[in-house]
Amino acid sequence: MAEPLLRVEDLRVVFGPPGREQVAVDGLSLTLGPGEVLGIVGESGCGKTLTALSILRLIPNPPGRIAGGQILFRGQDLAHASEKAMNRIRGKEISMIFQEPMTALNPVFKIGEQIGETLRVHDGLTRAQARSGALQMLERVGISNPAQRLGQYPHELSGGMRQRVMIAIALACRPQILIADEPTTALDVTIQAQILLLLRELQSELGMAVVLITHDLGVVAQVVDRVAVMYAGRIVEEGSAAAVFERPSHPYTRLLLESIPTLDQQQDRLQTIPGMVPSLSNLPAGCRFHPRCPDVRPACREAAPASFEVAPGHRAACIAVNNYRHAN
Amino acid sequence: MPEFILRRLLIALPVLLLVSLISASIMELVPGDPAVLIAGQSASDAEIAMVREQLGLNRPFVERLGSWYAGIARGDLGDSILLNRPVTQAIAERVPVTLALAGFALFLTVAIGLPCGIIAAVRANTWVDQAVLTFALIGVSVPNFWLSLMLIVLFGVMLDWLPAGGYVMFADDPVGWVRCLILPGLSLALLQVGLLARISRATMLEVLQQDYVRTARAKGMPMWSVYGKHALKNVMVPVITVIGISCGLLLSGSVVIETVYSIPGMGRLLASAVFGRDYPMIQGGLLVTAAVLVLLNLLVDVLYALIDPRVRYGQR
Ligand SMILES: Nc1ncnc2c1ncn2[C@@H]1O[C@H](COP(=O)(O)OP(=O)(O)OP(=O)(O)O)[C@@H](O)[C@H]1O
Ligand SMILES: [Mg+2]
Repeated sequence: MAEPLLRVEDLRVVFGPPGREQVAVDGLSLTLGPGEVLGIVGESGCGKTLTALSILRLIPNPPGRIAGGQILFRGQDLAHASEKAMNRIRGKEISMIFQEPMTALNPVFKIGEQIGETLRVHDGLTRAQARSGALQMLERVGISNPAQRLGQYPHELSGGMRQRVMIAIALACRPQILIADEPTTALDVTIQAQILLLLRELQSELGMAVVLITHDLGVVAQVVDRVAVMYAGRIVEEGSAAAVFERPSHPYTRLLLESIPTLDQQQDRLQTIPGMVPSLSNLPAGCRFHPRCPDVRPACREAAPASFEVAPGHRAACIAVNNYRHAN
Repeated sequence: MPEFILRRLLIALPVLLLVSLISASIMELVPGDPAVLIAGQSASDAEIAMVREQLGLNRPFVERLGSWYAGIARGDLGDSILLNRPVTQAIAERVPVTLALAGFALFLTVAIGLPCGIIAAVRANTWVDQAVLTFALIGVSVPNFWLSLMLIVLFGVMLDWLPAGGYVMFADDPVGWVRCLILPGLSLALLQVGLLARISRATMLEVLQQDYVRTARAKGMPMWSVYGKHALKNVMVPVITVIGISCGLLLSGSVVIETVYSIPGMGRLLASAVFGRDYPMIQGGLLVTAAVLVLLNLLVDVLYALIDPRVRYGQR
């Protein structure tokens, strides 16, 4: 395989003062190829946003910080890059859109200014050039009356419109990677579908790679090439979307998939995963999922399972999977 | 925007009407006979009658009210009893002095308080932050008359760097004018500097937590833009209101400072008018002071609307 665009290696994110740290992301590794769409799924609080913020080095510090690992983007380690070097990458090479479109835009600046300033800072455009660039972006993300919208303030726009503006800001400089952190969670269903469609169109048009974070497995199935399933700060299963959805190998993934309500299957009651996501201050030893696992064995309580290859390109961190593989 | 200003002016009008009414009624409100109070206990009946005639106290209140408003319309606020000259003339002489003093103190407040607060928030929990907080605490707890005396003793007397009091006109001697304002300006401003530093620090800390600041960073904006543009403009929304309140406090605080530094401003004029029971002067001074404050508030409202678009559209 060719060298990936982005490789995260053994990432560790911790919170709190030295000595009393809580580990929020623990030894996470992932790769992203050029033009690839990677989905990251997992329950609330499992560390998806932190992983995304780490890549742009935006973890709020204090209290949080990157305590270990590498984030390699085209040979450069972003985990240890200078703030100045990061500012050349943020918004230019790697962009991010956020979960909350209502609060992500600055209330006291006009839309046109908020899109245009990225073009001025990164591409050195003049005000007039940046304005026409912003206009083009607004048109491209499907906002009606773009010329008029340039002069409006965020409070004059609906949530869906604001998320479109965020997308316009993020893509104005044609980045190589777009990180979308639950871009549709705060929107209503019809708007969700429109935004996802727009993202997919823009992805193939610009040929960029996308990291799509969500806890909506339905979204993942529609859009992504590859998927990584996170649980309590670790990746428990990773593979092509087809493989993970058709042959889920980790018990957590299986339960996650079963918990999606479907119309065709007659279900008496909604499946849920018993138990709760462990809190950071009280992480179980061994496999972090073992207290909730229907298939738990004594060894699961002892040591964290390594990641095993179930099939080429499809890995899962579960000793049951390993035994299964050896048995075959 | 012009419509917005017009609306605010219309709101200000009743306030001015009320103040002018209260000014006019002061002589009705004081206990006893104002003519006797002014002429003095030992005055003869003839003298008291003369004062009464001069103040128009022998006319009914409604009639006096009518001529008070007619006077305002003509720009005539009556004659001062103590100074024996038109009230408007005396005030016109003094207002620029007080405005210069308060304006200079306001400049110091904003130029010191705001950057200190912002820097403290950006460097929260470092020695810089601690230093600003300590300075701000001193600022709000030192009484300004005591500070004035210390400054006069140190810089005016012992070091002899700056005049210990008095005032020269800008037109006569610009450098001397600035030198005269430095000590009183500092004395007047210190409390407001402390307040503004603390409020801008708290506001900035809150703004830095907001999602849009993270967005600005995610866009790759340089630090000066994240703090000095994206955060600062949001900080100014509440801070501009605080600055407006400071203006009012600086104007009222100047009464003490003008007295300590023997500066011939409105504050001293009104203080002596009160001690001398110079009712026409008190009435005129009250009206002019209120008008200045109303205008100031209007200015603050306009600035506020310029900064925050949500105000302009009446969403706040
Ligand atoms: N500022 C912070 N201080 C302390 N702990 C934090 C902070 N931010 C996040 N965490 C912790 O880190 C863990 C992972 O948080 P993260 O925001 O990455 O979750 P997430 O997977 O994005 O969840 P969601 O789906 O709700 O967005 C959480 O348990 C959270 O409590
Ligand atoms: Mg999140």
